[in-house]
Amino acid sequence: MIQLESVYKTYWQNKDEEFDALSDINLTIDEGIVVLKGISGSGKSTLLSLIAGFDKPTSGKVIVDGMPISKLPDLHLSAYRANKIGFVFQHFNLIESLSVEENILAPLANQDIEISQAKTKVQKVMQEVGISHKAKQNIKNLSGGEKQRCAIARALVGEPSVILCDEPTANLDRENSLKFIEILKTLNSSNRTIIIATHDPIFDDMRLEYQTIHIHSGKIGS
Amino acid sequence: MKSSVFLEFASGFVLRQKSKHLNTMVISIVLIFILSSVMFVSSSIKHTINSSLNNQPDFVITPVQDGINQTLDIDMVEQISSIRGVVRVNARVYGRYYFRIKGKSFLIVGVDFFDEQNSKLLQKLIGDNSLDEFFKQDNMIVSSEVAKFLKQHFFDNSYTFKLPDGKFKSVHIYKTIPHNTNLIANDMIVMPIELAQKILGLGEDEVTQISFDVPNDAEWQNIENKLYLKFYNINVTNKKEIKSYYDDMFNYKGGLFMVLYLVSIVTFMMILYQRYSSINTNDSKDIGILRAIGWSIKDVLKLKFFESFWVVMSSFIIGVVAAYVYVFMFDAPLLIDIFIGMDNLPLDIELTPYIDMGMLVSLWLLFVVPYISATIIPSWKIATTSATEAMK
Repeated sequence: MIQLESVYKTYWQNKDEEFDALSDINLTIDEGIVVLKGISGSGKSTLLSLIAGFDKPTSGKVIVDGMPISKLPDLHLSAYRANKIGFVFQHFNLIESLSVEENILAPLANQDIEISQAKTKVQKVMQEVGISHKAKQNIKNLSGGEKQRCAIARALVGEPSVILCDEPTANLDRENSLKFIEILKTLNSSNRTIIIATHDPIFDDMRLEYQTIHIHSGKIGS
Repeated sequence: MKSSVFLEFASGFVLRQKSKHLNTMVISIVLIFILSSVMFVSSSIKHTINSSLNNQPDFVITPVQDGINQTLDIDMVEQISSIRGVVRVNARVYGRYYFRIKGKSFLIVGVDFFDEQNSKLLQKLIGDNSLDEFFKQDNMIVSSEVAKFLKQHFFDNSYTFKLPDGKFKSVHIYKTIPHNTNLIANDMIVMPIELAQKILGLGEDEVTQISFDVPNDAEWQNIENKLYLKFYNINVTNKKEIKSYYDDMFNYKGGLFMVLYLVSIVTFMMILYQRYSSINTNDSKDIGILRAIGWSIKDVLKLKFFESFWVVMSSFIIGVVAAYVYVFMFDAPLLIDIFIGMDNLPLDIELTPYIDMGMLVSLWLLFVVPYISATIIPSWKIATTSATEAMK
């Protein structure tokens, strides 16, 4: 379970000029798919950053499975990200010089795990998202849809309980966006919390059960 | 095991980015090659000289009066022998013989062939033949460079010296001193002391040097003091002073190089630091990605250390091996001339393979530690910023 209690996130553009990216966010998210909807700049990505532990709230608490992550020191926060969170970025954020399987292996490289076990996990997630045939390919040579699948596989390989997707279809054509949603449907069946920040109307057209949260100017709407 | 997954990933990470490291590696290899070559040449020369000095007597007395070189009376041998603690006192003649047409000179060394200390060394040079055989006619032993020079001037088997009284003396070339001693015997001609006296125009009682040993090191200073009290017109030099003279000379030459190349290394490290400080977008993004997927700062630094260590160790090993081949297999062409300079006769020497491990470790520390620091510190700076910032 993810709980946000009176969360504020403020950025200072100049010394005096402050910008409230999030204001008084109070939210409880259970298992299943949650779609955060809102226009660009509404605070969706900031909210995901706080849940992922990339950033800390200016005030308030972010609690994941009873753990107040906004208070964690860096080492524990890294372990939290490695064990609990899988993040799919809008621009994929893959290591360009590495191959598909090396990118997917990356989250396991700092884990206490046997090499054979790690390779099996990598193979399994590559098959799940349908990218096995490109395992040895360099990221540079992949299409947008293939990069997306590689990013999803990397997010899944650590078997996280929370998957965060930031504008996952923004850089995909319709065909690849539909494929992404198909993958989401399979992931939904495995007791995970999946939070998708998007303003893509494609999610409305799909037969997908999800909870919707609207964000507007950093505040939760109806 | 944790480490094996890490190693698998880190190896792929480094090997996939070979081209990124190529420029740095090439510069590193060149710097290491030059520094190691200088170090190898310097230590090999010092080692050869030190080994040669080990066979030399502990003390050498030369005559000096008002700064002008004189000769010593052979009677001094007995007087010096009478000093308690002094053993193996020998008279010898050192002098230059000028081959005026070509403006060259040879170093004539006249020694007592029957002296216990000299005879072992000379027996090695003469080989299986007995000394009687050597003394059947006027013979001399010449360095390989002297032999080559004389041959070029049609003196294949013997050379006719012009004596100070205008007469001529033909001396047969009996043997050539092995090539590997050229460093100390490049222009040397060894002959019996009586023959050397004749050629250099010295009387039978005149010698230019007296050598002796003092087995008890603690007595060296006392003996020197006694000699200065006894004889006013001498200069006493001990083996340690000669050794330190050579050490200073080659340390000075090697030191000049070291200073020059240390400056290069510092410059290189500054460029490297500059490069990694303004760490390129891809490097910064990679660190941000790793942090975002759950790597701690320590994990990122471990990867960067592995990457830097791999680059710097490969460069170091390649540079050192290349320097070893260049110095000890090809005798360091070009570099050796700077070290030994152009001698009276062209100095063609073979460098004995000798590695000063202390110097090698210093070089390793001098290069590897700043290199790794110059690459790790900027990565650490990136790793400590927010992952989202680093990925931008």
